[in-house]
Amino acid sequence: MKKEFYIAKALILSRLNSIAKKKKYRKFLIPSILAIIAVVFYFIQKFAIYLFGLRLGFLPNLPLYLLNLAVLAMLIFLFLGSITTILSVFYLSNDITLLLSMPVSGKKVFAGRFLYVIAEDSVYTLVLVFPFFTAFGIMNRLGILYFLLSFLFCIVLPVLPAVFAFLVVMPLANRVSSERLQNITMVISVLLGMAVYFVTQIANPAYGLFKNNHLTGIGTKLLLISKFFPSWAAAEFSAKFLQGSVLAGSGIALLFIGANVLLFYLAYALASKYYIKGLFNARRTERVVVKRKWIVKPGQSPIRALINKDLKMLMRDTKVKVLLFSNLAYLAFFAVAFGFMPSKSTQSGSFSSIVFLIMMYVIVDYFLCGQNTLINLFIDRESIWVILTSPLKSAVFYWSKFIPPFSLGIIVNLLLLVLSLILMGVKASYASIISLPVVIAMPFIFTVTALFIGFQFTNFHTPKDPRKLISGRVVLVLAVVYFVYILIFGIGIPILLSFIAKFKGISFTFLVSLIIFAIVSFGGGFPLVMLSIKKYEGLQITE
Amino acid sequence: MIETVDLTKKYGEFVAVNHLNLHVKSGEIYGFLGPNGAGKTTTIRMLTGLLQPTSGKVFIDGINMEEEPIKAKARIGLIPDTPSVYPKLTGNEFLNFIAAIYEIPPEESVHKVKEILEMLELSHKADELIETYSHGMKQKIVIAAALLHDPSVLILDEPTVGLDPKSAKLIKDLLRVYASRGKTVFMSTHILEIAERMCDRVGIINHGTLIAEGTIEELRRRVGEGEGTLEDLFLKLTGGEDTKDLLKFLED
Ligand SMILES: Nc1ncnc2c1ncn2[C@@H]1O[C@H](COP(=O)(O)OP(=O)(O)O)[C@@H](O)[C@H]1O
Ligand SMILES: [Mg+2]
Repeated sequence: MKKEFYIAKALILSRLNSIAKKKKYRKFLIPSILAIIAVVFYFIQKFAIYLFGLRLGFLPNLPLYLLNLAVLAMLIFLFLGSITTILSVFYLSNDITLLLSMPVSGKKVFAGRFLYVIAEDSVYTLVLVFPFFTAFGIMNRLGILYFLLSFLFCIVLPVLPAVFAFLVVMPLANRVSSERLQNITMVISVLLGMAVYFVTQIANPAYGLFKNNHLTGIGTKLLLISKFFPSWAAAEFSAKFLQGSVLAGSGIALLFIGANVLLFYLAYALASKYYIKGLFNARRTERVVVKRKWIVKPGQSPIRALINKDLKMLMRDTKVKVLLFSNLAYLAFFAVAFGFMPSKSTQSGSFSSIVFLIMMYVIVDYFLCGQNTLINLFIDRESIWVILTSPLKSAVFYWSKFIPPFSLGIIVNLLLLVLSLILMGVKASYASIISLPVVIAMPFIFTVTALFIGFQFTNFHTPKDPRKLISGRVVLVLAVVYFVYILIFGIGIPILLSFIAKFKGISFTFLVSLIIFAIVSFGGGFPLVMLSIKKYEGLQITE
Repeated sequence: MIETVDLTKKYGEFVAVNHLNLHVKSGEIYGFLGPNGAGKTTTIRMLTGLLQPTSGKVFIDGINMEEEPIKAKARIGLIPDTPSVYPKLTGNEFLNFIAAIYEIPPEESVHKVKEILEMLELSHKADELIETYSHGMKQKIVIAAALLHDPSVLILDEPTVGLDPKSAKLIKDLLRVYASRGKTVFMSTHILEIAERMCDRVGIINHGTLIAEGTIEELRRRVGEGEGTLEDLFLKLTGGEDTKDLLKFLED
């Protein structure tokens, strides 16, 4: 197993290097990662202890439920990411060809990469899930064996999602080329995400926590299925330790760990037979046939030509298609799952409808106008010299990047407005009026913010990793900004508005809402537009 | 016409281009010669408005790049050192896009695009995505884009790297014709033979400083009595004498 470890080690090192790009930061990297892990771990454990200590009369073994839930949440997270991870690590990674030209067998490449995937995912499990076990152990004064077994439990937890994804991707890779493979896996992973979410929602013990009496016959049966989820093993072996039957508890834990190791060997055996074959197949490039009707008509205005070019490039880019498609699919799904279904049970009055509607717009616009704006902006990064050496006015370039995501946001918001009126009826009509300013203001605010942040990082040179469209720093800054936005616009303002609506009536609340969003748009948004255009004028190519 | 006045670029303490004073006349092919890392690309980026100088000025046909960048840029066609162009557009689409942002009238652009694609022997690839082009073909599509709006100043950064002999010859002929029409051609290269054969005048840059300038003949004369070649002069001026030691080491 020596070469396998070298392969895994090289991958982990390059991963670490990509986090700390400058050499002088590298020596601080591992200590600081460990420090962050320790702090996060400590707080999660503290939180878990607090939760476990809650006394809920209707739920006697709350800690076990929560433990189950933590593991389940982690599994969902792992399942959601598994297919894309496996696809990129096993089939599309740039160094694979190089590895294959070296005297290393295919199954060793497989094993090395698999270990890498597990190692990376285990870090997440150890930080996010293991504290729940330790909290459980500390609270119930369980022996060292419990901690050891739950540690191993967390380490092997990512095996099932990874093997599952590998078993989905591998047969596909043997048949289709990479371009098509990406398209197919994108659809599969979105469907999978929905399916996993759906099943877990029904079979989720937490569901029973609140709506036990609502469960139908099918619901009870599905609840039984949840016993087959790996998360059940966590609760079960912990329960056995709690009851003092260490032997039974260890047995269950070891069974789980052993099953996962077996699963790995199953994938390993299959990989030695099929992995390399599929690899060569998937790496053959497919010729894209360009349809005639897409050709630009001569004599377009610069701004139309710019937008036209962006849309074309977006439509032809599989990576972008993956992002757009999954965004939209999740959106549609969550809108139904979270929004319109529960909205049936929301109580009368406009209180919850206002919060619900505005929050929906904010989240939808975050996807459509926040993320997509950046994708649309950075699609120019390799070829920015074409724009920068041309006699284009900076404002023209700016608005060409603004119009598509902004219009998309407005259109989708209006559709949602109509949809919510149809589905929620009169109840929503007051809320709709009050949230009307949001329909226009939110796409504007998200789009100009994304453009502003995008322009601050003049990171327009060719990305090292072709799979990374947007630089990590931009994503990081945006995540923080958007988190604050969702807090303010998605939660704070709607709650405020619904309070006002309760006491002052519709027309007054509408006025308040109009004024708030007008101030934010004009006072906050337009300065950002001006600053971005100014920034563009000073844009340089430094690398 | 290109003119620079004390053009300087510093990266922190490091001076990449040092008080450069260039004077390139219309109708002239100017060779900007220097070893790797001399500051050629940095200079070209400042000439084309891709990089702001630390100090000094750039004039394109007498237009100050800093004060009227849009007017100045409208007169330039750039062929950069790496031909990175929109991979997901076809050659045809890319050229039509260029025509639109340079605001070439439609009746003109239609036959111009066709003509240029034919001249550069890219017609058969015109409706395929640029990402499927070879390196040389990508370079040709960039050349086509630079020529499309008939710029009065053509700036090329090491243009013949990656071109096959036939295409390289085509470019040479093209530049000749272009200069004879009274346009300015500014070309950086580290290949002496190209400078020698094509350029009316040559400037040699090393460590960011212009160390010699003149026609090939003038430079020859400076080497002394015609005995040395331009290569000897180049190596002498740019401190490349060490390479002779290297050659010797390899021969032994
Ligand atoms: N962004 C940058 N930061 C620091 N130094 C740079 C940067 N870009 C170029 N340089 C340095 O400036 C010098 C000139 O580079 P360049 O103009 O690319 O040379 P060349 O003549 O080969 O085109 C080189 O020493 C290079 O390392
Ligand atoms: Mg260069």
